[in-house]
Amino acid sequence: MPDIAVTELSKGLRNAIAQLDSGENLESTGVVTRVGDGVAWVHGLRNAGYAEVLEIQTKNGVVEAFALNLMEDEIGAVLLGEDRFVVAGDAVKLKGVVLEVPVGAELLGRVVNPLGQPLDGGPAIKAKETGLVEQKAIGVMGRRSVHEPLMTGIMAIDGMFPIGRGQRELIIGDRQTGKTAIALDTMINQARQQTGVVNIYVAIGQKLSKVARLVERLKQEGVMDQTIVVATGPSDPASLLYLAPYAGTAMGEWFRDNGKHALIIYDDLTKHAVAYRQMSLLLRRPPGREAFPGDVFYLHSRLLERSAKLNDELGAGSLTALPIIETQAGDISAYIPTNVISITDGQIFMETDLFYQGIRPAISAGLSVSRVGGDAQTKAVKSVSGRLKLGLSQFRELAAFAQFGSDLDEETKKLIERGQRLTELLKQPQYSPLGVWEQVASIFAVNEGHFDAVPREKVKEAQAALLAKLAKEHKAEMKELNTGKDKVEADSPLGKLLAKTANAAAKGFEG
Amino acid sequence: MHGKLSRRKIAAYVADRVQQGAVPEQVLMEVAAYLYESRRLREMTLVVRAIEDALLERGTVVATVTSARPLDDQLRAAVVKQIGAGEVHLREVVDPSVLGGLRVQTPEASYDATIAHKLNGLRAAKV
Repeated sequence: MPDIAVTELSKGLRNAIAQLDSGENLESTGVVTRVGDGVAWVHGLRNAGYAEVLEIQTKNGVVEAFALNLMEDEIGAVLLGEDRFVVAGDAVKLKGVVLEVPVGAELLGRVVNPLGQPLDGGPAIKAKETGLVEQKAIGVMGRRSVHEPLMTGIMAIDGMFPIGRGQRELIIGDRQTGKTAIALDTMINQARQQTGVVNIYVAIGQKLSKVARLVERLKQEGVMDQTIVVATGPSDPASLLYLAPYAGTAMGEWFRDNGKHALIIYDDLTKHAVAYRQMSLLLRRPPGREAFPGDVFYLHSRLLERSAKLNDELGAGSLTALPIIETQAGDISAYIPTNVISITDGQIFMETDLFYQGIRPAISAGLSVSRVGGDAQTKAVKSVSGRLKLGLSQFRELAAFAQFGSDLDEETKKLIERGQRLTELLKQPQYSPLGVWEQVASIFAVNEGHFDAVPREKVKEAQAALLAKLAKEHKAEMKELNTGKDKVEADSPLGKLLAKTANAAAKGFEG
Repeated sequence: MHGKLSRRKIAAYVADRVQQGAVPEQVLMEVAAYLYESRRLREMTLVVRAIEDALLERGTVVATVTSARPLDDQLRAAVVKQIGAGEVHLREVVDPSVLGGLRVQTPEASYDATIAHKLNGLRAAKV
């Protein structure tokens, strides 16, 4: 045996590889054996990788698909286009890439499908970069704990369940309880407060009329310039619904990785799981609980893990996620809701009962929680929100006694009345997110008892009067307060100023 | 459509062919073609290791000897004797950073008698 050949195996192999004729013109092809329900079964192409794009040559042009089931003798691929053009016998080629979408600032203001093609009738998107649809989330060392606030402009959320940049906060509730409204207000607030946060709204199987209405509203509010809408409707193939959140995340990651801040809303992940269930069952994967496949947890965990706050070396960008889950009859112990609750850093639970009592946003104070946002609250909001939470939870305990009215002692009566006023204060109409100073001043006025003489039903009017007065007479102080840097205490100059103005504003509404 | 050949099978095939007297270049060419076609070129170094393992099982040891200065014949003979296999092939590497002494690596064992290794040991013991 020649000595050189054995000791230089590595070199020998490398040389041999270099000498190979790569046969670049020789493409491996497969053939469609069966097709139906958006799934094509392909024979051949044993070199196909997982989630690799296949090109099916049909009589009406190329239809793309991506390979999800790689089996010994055939490939199960999910079609990205219409299945009616694909017939058995069509030739299939490997595209040689995994799925990518255009990313970058060029997408702002556009409505696109999960493949990055425009749906708004505008020109084609000429993005310079592309991002991988399926990407591994950033590791431990690249991250930093959530510490900057992402203001939603909704007092109940910013006060009690604050959200930080890089957090994943679930919005969960039955149909028609205002889940999308919260997401929409949060997007509007980013534009009103000029936070520079980019919005990405991912509609997964949403009625296109609803998406159109939403886009129209965003345009009216002037938010669309900093928003990307990734839209899929109920009539789109399940594969597109499945891809939509990943594509949206790829677009958000571009902002995150370039030192910017982005907010992504997945509306909603229940439909996403259903679309994935459809695909999985058609690919003959074994069904599990509620007929979802075994990897439905991983489906969402790998998606939400990509939302993160990066450390300073990586540019300190962030991607905040607000996934939405729709429950049936308030059942948060169903399969998908429990999964997503355990993945996210907290949830905002919307209650039907509250909604119909007129308490809107219908946020349940008892079942909602934010696990990491506390560190992200600004000092000003934090200084008033502690007592807000306390006041409301004391009120909840005593609320049952409220109906006994006059039989209660003074102290209890006071707590109940304060709680009722706070509940009233936290009602907020849609499309009217509030800034830091507006939230702090309103909560301060009620907490410190300056509105105690105002009857419950006039609290909102008194609040409006207070805010108008402050905006008119103390513009500079309010600008300072809006930065949220300083604590607001009753005996500080600012506290005294707020107290004085609140008392004056309350005068007109005393019952 | 056949499944993926394991590296161990590829290695066994190469080792057998080489022992039977096939031209190693020819066999390597076959392996290269297979790796290319099955898009497994990234596994190249692992395949090489596997082949060395397979050769070891068949009594042929490929050992890497690292020393600060080139080996002389006497030392080479001593190393071969020390390894004590039926057939020993030495891959000699000269690396001044080992400072002195020898490091012998076979697919399943390594013997380090370099000055650099001893210094590292002392450093770790904080003497």
